[in-house]
Amino acid sequence: VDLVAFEELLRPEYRTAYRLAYAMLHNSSEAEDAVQEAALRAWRRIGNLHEEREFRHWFLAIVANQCRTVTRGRWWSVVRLPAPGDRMPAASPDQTAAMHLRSELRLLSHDQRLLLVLRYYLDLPFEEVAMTLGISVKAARSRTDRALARLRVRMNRPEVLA
Amino acid sequence: MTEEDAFAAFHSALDTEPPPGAWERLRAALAEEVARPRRRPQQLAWQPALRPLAAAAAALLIVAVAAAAFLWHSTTVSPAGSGHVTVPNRPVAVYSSAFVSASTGWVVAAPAPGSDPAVYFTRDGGGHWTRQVSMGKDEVATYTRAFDDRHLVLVVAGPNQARLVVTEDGGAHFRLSDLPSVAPHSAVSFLTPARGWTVISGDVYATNDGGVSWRQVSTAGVANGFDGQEEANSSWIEFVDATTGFLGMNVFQGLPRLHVTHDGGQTWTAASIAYPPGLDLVGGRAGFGAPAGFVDSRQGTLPFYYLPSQSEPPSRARW
Repeated sequence: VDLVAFEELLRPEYRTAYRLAYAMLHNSSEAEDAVQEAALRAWRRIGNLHEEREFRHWFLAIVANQCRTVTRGRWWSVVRLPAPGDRMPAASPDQTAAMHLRSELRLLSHDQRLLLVLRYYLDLPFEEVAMTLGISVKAARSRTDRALARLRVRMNRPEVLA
Repeated sequence: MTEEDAFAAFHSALDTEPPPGAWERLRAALAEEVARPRRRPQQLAWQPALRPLAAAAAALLIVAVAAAAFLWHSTTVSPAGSGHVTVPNRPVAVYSSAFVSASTGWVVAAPAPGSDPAVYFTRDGGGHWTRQVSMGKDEVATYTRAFDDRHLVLVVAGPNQARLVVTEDGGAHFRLSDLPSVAPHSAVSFLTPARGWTVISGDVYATNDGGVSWRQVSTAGVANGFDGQEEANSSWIEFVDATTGFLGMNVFQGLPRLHVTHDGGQTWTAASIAYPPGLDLVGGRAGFGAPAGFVDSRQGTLPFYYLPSQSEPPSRARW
């Protein structure tokens, strides 16, 4: 596979890969870097790919592994906020719910977060979730159910703020 | 959350698109990778001869790393009286502490005079301490609150900026977040590891994700009981439940002000305090001397100082 052919394989999957990385890392710069690094790794190891039709799941798995590496390397994570002069408008109920979900999602393990993101954010059927993770469809379904149940418990904890 | 709800919730919370130019930057990186010269065969030819040497170097490196890890984790300190602990033959200054039981808790301490402070953790009542993370020499922990043996929230203030330091796994990892200001001063109050408030220049911000993000809930203003005379950089905030909180502020020339909220910080009203009569505030100074300790919305302590002369008030650097 030459570079042109590789880019033809990669381009249709770029948006999905970026969304996966963003959902795992919650940071657009880190997500872009993670996908770029994953693409370079995929290019170096393209000989390991047996079938071109497997590229999507093979590449998403590399992106997921790169996200795991980034998360592990994050001894500190610095959150940049608006300058003091910038007034932040009060969050709407929808924004608050979204922030709550992102916050609880971050507290799940990498594997559980990955399952939920593949299934409920990237809308992959369980067959494709299984192929990406290299597990059986049955295992993908049961693990996703467990991860969602865990997230549900966390989301339904009593709210402290009224 | 049903499975159907999960699709909608995940899309709402996470929906994003690649930033402009990201694909082009990736293509450029790939092109650079392709253009990079590959190693020539003759360079590879002598590599097998180096393998034993590389293996020996790797073994030495592993031994060195293991020894360093052992030395690092074996750093222990033993108690030697209230307020101070000692490593063998060396005093240790304890700046703050947060315990969740008689045996388990954290201290922010310096292992030797003049050395950088660090966060230490114990599970055996101070018999042994594990150093978890080091701070800069000019940094102090201005807020230390532990909720259980996994969750610790610190505010570390440096010369220019205060930041939030949080662990959610007993100190295995620490997350550093900016507060909504670059000021060295900050006052925070956390009810749970996730829910907290901070006051900066009279503006109150709240977080419900452990300080990862903050939203402004109120601003200083006459409508909220402020008149602009408050020294915004020497304030403290303390919430006793999700709705009731207290905000103390010293005043440039006058008696300190106490404000109360009953709606989670959105509106504040000035509280009435019966100060001792006859205080000379022209030559003297008065203020809240330390963070208050409120038990609930009705009971608490409010440390107060009054200095009749021009002498400097007690240090408020760690408020």
